[in-house]
Amino acid sequence: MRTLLLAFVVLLGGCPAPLVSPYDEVIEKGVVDFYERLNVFVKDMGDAAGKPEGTYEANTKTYNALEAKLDVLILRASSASQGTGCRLEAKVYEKVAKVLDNDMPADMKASAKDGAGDANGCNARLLQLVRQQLGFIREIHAKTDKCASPPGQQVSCLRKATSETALKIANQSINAVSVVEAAKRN
Amino acid sequence: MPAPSAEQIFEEMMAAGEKAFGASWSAVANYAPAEFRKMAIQITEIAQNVARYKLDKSEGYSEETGRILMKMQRTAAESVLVATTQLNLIAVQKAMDAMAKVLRKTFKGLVARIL
Repeated sequence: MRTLLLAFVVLLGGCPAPLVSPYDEVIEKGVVDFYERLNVFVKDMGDAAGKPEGTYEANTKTYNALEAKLDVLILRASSASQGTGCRLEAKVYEKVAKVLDNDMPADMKASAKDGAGDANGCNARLLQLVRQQLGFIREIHAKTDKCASPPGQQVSCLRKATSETALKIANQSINAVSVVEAAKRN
Repeated sequence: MPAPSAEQIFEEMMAAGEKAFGASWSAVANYAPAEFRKMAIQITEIAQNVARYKLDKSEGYSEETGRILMKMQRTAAESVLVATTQLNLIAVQKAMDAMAKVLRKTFKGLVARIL
């Protein structure tokens, strides 16, 4: 009886591996700052579409600065996870994979298969997804969006409609990071 | 075949979400549906803007841009999925912490007595 009771107390009162990584104020504040900068920048680009200051070539420095800001946050989250990746809970993974017709992202598949991955890895993954969104906006600005610019030229731009849709989608990924950090804090 | 409405897409996403997360769904019920609704609206918005561009090149955006925006939407879906899983785990962690606190308090004196 004594052993059983002791084991019970140790099990529940001890220090098991946490299911989620601890709240990180630097990541939460960093993401809020990134949100503000990206939103101002993309809205400005939508307004400047077709003007010289709205071309991709005129804004590469801003993209580099935004990427660097995210890279610092990703590095912080990755160093905590020791690069093991993000692993979804097995049961949830199975069901989600079924719903998505096994169209799961490759790194999640790998983490589920080899049993690697931890809570910190999911933090890093969320930030990497924000980085991907920025990369997509950059790709559109550099390659696919074109605007008429006098005299009769086509220049690279972020069209007004594109900037609106892209921002709404990118904000979903940024919001995902904020929501998780806020839930940990509360 | 007519394009599905945002409402139809939303209903399908909700059903898939509930199916995937089962009993844990309640822990994320506030966050996930709002995000699914945004996705559904944005997917129809992309289709509408590509159609507007086809009619008038000064409106909407090209199919190439639309394709990248759909990739962005897929990435956003992954963000929501990972966040939803994390919110579930945070709820479980908080419940475990609260339980452990009660147990520690309850058994502390008892353990001290029998040891």
